[in-house]
Amino acid sequence: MKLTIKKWSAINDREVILNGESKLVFASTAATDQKLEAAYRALGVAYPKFFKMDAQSKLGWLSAEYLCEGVKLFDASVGKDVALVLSNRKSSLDTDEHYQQSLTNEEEFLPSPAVFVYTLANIVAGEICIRHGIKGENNFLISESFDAASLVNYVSILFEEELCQQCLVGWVEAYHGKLRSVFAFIEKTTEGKAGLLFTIENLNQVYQTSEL
Amino acid sequence: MTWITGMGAVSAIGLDVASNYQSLLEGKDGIGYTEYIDTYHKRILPVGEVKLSNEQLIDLLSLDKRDIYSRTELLSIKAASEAYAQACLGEIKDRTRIAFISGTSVGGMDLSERYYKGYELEGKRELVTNFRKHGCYKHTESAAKALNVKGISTTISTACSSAANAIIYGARLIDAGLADIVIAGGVDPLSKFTINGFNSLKILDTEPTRPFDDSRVGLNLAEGAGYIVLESEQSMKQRGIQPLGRLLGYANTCDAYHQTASSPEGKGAVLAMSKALELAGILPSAVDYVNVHGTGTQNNDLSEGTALKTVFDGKVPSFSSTKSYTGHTLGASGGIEAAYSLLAINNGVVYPNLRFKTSIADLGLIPQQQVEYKTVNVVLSNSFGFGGNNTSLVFGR
Amino acid sequence: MSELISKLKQQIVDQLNLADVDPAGIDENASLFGEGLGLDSIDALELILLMQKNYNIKIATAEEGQKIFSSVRAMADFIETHQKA
Repeated sequence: MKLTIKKWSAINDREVILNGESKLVFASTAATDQKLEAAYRALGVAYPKFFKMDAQSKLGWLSAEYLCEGVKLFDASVGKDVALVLSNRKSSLDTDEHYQQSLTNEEEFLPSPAVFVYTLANIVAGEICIRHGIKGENNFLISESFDAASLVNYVSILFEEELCQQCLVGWVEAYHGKLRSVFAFIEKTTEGKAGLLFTIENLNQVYQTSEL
Repeated sequence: MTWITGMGAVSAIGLDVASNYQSLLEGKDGIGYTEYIDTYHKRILPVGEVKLSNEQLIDLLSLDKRDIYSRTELLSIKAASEAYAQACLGEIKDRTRIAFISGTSVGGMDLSERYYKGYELEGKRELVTNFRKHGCYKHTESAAKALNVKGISTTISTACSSAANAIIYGARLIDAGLADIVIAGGVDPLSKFTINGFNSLKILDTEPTRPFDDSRVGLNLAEGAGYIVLESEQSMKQRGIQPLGRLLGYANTCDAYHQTASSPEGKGAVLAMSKALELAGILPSAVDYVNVHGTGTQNNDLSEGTALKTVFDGKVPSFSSTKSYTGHTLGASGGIEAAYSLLAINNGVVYPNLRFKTSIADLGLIPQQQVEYKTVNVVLSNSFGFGGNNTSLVFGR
Repeated sequence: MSELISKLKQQIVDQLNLADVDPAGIDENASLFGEGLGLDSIDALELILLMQKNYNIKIATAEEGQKIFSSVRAMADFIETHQKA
């Protein structure tokens, strides 16, 4: 079975990229939070929960939002599923550190539940599923570096076994103010239509193209 | 067709599968105050702790004492070695055909948190080397190396369904011909990080947990590791090894409701259970026992119970939460409970749900209350995680 | 009382990261959960934290919290009663 990268999005410290084209360039002096907020404002949607997320969830949420703009996602109720497979290296380390600091402060020992919730790698996947009503398989892989082979293998099996008809796959990591995400929207290849095939080589290419 | 040829478990109720099984039959839980963690809550919140110190684990596993280890690594190697030995994986020549897939939610947090204060607040930068075992993927690397496994090696982090998702991934690798044998499961250590975190969510019980009881107030945090060996039919036959059972079906779905809370009607859980049974080609009525997720929180048990009633059309088979023995081992639970499911099938027995007295008012569901010997052909095992990540596995003969 | 109410509104907006909400625009009599500000179970836990941090009031369970947090006015009433006691 052949699969196609129908669209891809990426966010790094400089800009938001959609299918290789720059959608938004951040002010060079902007702090991470300001960059994420600028990307959110540019979308023109109202989603108050965005501001409650940690940086990594914001980053993943935005990447999915840019990727899914103008795409009709299948609805599980008609028996067609959308899957979501994400990955990174550091899991939720950025927020883990933030939370650990609140545990270390003995005078003001008040660990925050709203921070703790984000100390799990896959919460960003949950946020994206809530936003887009994705009820299909969702998974989060941790690897030392971007592992296109694992992602392509995993997603290909999901399509082979007909467990999904559309899939969002990617890398998402926000750590100490550094933003890096690449999301790809995968569908079965339509016969006779040229496009970017979902191969290890092409996924690596997309990842490298969007490198700062 | 995915067969299971080995299993390993370490938890608060036993250091290997046999001792876990003994405790299950004797109704002996492993819940108590921590011996090894210096937390503010150490005499307030009971936990399910593995009854060995790190030093004892290092001795037991004959590891190099000069190195440092996270408890995550030690528990993972302990349980994975047991599964490995039972499946006689030492005899396999081509090590690249054996994969190792492990799930965890906190990775080497137990080790990192011991050095964090000194490093971050007291400026002891020399402590930095102690963080090299922090990453979630580090224990997977260590265990694969300890077992000389050279096939695909991946770490999964989907909160409390991590181990169950590792098992699904393993089954798929075999189906796709990418491995002949997969050691799959998961691990999580107790840590101040998770104890305080779950406490801030106000879902920890100060008494031993009472899953599916109307008076339940929360879970007991716990640690452990559980792995099973998945094997292709061809490889199993070639080696002439006896199977423990089969993974008949599996499914992972998203509840898409809230970051931590399950939907009231358990939508994701219904989908996961139904799809897993569908893949197995089994009618709900053929399920003999359900090893429920059953954390003992208000939210989970009500939502999961509602989902059970939907899937089984009101006729819910014998079910219990073995977390009433072990506590909630987070990312390890799906692996440990996979071993318990296989023990149920092989020994023809179902375990009680400890400390149950009164049905949840809105549900009227009564879990298994005593050890019962009966034919167990099919077990459904649930693992649900934060992020709305719901996984169901179906085990059979 | 009105001073306490407006202070509380600001504290709620800060504690719960309600970025686009104008504190002055919050109706102190309206329900905080469900319709109102659309708060959820995690927000309820954060409000418990807010009470402890700013008013030194400890609330043991989320259920207890839910009654106290029915509206901004109810929170203010509870704080006043507690501080007099």
